Amino acid sequence: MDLSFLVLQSLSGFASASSLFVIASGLTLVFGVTRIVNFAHGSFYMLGAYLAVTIVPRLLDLSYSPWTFFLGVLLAALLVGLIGVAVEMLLLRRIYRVPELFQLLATFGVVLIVEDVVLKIWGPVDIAGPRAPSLRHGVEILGQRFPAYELVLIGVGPLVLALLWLVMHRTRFGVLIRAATQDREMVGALGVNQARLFTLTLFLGASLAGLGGALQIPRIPANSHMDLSIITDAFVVTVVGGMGSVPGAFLAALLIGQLQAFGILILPKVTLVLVFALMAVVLVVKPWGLLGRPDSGSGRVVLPEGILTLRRFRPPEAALALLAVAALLAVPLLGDPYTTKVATEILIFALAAFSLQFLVGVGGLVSFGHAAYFGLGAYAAGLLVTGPLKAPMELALLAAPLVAGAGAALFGFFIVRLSGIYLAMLTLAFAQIVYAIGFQWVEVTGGDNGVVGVWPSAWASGRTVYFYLVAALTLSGIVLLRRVIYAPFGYTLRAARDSATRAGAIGLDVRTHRWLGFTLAGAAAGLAGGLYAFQKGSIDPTLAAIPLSIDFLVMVLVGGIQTVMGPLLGAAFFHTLKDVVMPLTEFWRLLLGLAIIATVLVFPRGLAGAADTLRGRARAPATAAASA
Amino acid sequence: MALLDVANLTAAYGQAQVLFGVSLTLGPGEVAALMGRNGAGKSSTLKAVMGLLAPLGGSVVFEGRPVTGWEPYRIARAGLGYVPEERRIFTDLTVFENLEVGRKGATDAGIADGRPPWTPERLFAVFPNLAEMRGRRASAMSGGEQQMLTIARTLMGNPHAVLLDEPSEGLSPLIVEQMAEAVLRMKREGIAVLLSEQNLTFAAAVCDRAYVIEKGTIRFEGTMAALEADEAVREAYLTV
Amino acid sequence: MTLLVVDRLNKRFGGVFAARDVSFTLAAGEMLAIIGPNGAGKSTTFNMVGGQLKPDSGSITLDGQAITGRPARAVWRCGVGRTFQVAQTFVSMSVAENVQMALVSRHGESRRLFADTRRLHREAALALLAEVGMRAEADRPVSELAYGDVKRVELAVALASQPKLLLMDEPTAGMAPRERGGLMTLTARLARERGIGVLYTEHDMEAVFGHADRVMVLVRGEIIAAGSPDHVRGDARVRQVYLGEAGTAAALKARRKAVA
Repeated sequence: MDLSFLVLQSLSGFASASSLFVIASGLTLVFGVTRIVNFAHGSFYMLGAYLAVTIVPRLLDLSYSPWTFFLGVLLAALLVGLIGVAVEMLLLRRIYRVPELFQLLATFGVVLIVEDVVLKIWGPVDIAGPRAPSLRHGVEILGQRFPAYELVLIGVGPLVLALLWLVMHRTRFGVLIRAATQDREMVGALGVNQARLFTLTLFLGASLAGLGGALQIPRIPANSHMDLSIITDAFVVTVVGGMGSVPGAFLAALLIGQLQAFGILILPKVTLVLVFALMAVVLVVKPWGLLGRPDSGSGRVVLPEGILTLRRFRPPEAALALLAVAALLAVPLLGDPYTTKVATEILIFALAAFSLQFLVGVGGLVSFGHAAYFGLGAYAAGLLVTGPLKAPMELALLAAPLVAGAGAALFGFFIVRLSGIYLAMLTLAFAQIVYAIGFQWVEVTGGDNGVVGVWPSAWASGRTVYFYLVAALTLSGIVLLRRVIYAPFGYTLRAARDSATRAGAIGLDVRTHRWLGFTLAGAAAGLAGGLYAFQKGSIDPTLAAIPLSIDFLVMVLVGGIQTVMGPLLGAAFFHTLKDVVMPLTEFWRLLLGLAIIATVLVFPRGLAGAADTLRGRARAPATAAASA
Repeated sequence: MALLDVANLTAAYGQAQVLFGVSLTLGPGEVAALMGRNGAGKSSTLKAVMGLLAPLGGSVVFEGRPVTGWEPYRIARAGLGYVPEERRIFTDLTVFENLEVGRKGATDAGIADGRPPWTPERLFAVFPNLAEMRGRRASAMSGGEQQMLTIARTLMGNPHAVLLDEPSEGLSPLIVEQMAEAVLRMKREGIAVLLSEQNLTFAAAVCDRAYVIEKGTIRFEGTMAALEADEAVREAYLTV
Repeated sequence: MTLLVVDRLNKRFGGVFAARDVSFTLAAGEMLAIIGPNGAGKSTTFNMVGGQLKPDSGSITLDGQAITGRPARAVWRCGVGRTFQVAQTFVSMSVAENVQMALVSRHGESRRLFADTRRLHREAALALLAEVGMRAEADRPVSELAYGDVKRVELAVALASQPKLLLMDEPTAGMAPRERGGLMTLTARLARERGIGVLYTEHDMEAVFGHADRVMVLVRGEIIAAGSPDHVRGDARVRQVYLGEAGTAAALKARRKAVA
């Protein structure tokens, strides 16, 4: 490894850092002002690439020069900015006041919709873009050739940073953005039209994402997986830099660019893991990122929105719950094998969703990556059964919660040191580590294809028997977790969520309790994952991927986060919906996305919450009459 | 004609109603106090007038224009300023930038009585402390200086009337005196002020008239002198 | 008997001293008020004693035990209960449950997985609530209480651990005048009856000069005056940087009332 090689490697690190910064700066700006973690930012990036591969070749046909190339790139970016404006006006504007988890889900709904729209317009085949005229050659640096286009990219990052700095410090719009990042309501009370400020911010943020995407076309072909592959990187950059901080994002992008460039030389297999490990380390040392600041509202005691209210079942509700369980248990006796399969999966997802509810609703620990522990459980069980050990199912099902619990304990050690959005982002990062290991460690995990042949022991291989095994395990898991919620341990978690300061001042060890709670929830999700592996007969990385984490969140939120048993309702509803709707149409993502958005807009308190509201309405006139 | 006319205002936080038909008026150039215990509805009244808390019913008329249910920024542009309870200055911004956020475009409501518009220079003359630190980040200011900045920032919008929420709460006695001076200064500039307050001494020093609110309804209305003389009202609602 | 010894505490944020060589002592059963302009370092001093902040240097000794720089929960274990400037309660719980949680913690039961929390230590919690006059509100959600009542609940929570030292950061902030007097009288009575030392900050002159045994004035992180309420009230520098004319008058009024 000589010097020139290292220099070139470093240069290519700077080029990726530049691209990453352009994208992440938009994300961090939008988050700063709107406080929305915008999953759709990845979609803006993808749209930028698709629009560029459409526009740029046409412009180059008219006039073949680097100027037309970059004109096309800018045009694509501005078009994406306009799409951002549309998204703000149609959706985001309506959800600024809903709890942030719902905002996140709504933007994920946009991701799903855009994916289907892109497939419809541009088709499933990757589209390679044109190279930039006059920049197709290599430049000789220290005796080695380095692509000229990459050199241009290196310059784009600092250029964007300088322009953004000028906008933020030398224009009224920029001052207002910085003020709104701190206190939007106050900015409004001083006479600033927030809606317009937000729309303009979205335009700027989406344009930057679009620019990032459009600049990539000579390097990577436009494809329909670009959105989710970039969004986690962009999240990491914004979080490491400090959410809302543009210079922070720049610094973080540089760090990560270099880490990737050199990481690939030293440990080619674990580049993905390295990035997330860096994030974990940074956040443990600086819990608000490199240049971020603590949330100004973090010290206030407010009743958190969408928290769990503990209420015992009243007799009719208890009867209803029993009836529902009885009906579910009767499924194998009455239904066909397919219904039994769906019922089994509902039970498994119910346990996974309930363990997430335990974290979010009781502990206030919003996990964006709960599938990690589901996946760990599934892999533990699957690999034990199919690997060299050829262990029996019973042992595998015991190992699933233990391994997932151990993973949750390890990740949780870092996670519980953080709070709010940073905590959520770190859960996402750890989930991506699990996913990356499953994906990259091909010799053991089978990579993308996974491992097949994960079958239950002979006695449990019948659908009906396996259903009852799952029912026994998941229902006892749910009942035990529910019990813990009402016990001092659950109350302590809730106390720490309500006011960590007060909890510390009465001698409660907030961090340790959160860590134990995280581990417990991880173990429960792991059991669900293990059961799912045997149900499916196989394991693959999707069991730890973002979409599954999102599914769990949707189940919790659709069911209603304020109720203890809501997630079970959510799991049943959501899984049935997915199972029934998905096979019917090629636009299932579009429908699912619209369904998620509709849920957020219409039932922000979930199905169980909506039922509560109806009951409340029915009661209110009665009490009014009584008091009159 | 009253500058600000609030009639039968009702409002709620979620399910909990906090205002049950509040009516009050503020004349041009007048300083009035809205007094009451904690949780009586003082801050909620100011927020509902300003549009920060959506009113359920009733009306708010400002300079003859009904502004009920308007968004806060439109109410601010109509000439009503708001100084919040917990200062809420932008600590990441410099003093000068804080004032810039408060500035409004030329198209907005005119200036009262043909007085010159507020500029940073004019404000620095009134608050000399701020002039010395115009380029400094607001986070590096003392509590008292931040308090002055919130007022200066609101004045940048050239308001005809200002809602001042709990100006003396949690401040040391000396800064409370400075706040009183600032209120009187606004009055001299022809700006009407409606302030919420628990401290009768402070209110008596700066206000012409007083309202007493309890459980979201107005229980007393009269001159400051009348309130000071009315022991029964003070005893029942203020308990000084 | 000296309960708390604070010796030359220093704390800097950036380049600014929030506390500079702050030293004082507090006896059991004594009420010591810290006053000073906003941003003078009162809360910083407080949070260092309570374990919410680590001092850069200096030492804190409670009842012979060094508690310097230990986390809040360890300081609590040594016998320090506290209330906060902005009341900190478990807003999703009832009034009684808030106190019960303090008792659960005191009995080391916070990790029990299957007991029914609502039945644990309920009688003891009700007794504590009775002491602060909140027995009747025991089963209401704490989020529904008026602010003055929340402050009383906080006091009951702080008392649940049978503390030797009570830290109260602006205990009467946001309360109506009569409630203020009531809370301070209650606190003073409990302190004297049980020999609890009370360290508190305040801006309300009545609460300071009407109830404190000693007063300490903090300006830019430094103690500029300390002593009896009358001594501090008469100090020219205190008048100049903190009390002003109105403050001095209010302090005098409070002293007359307290002595009468």
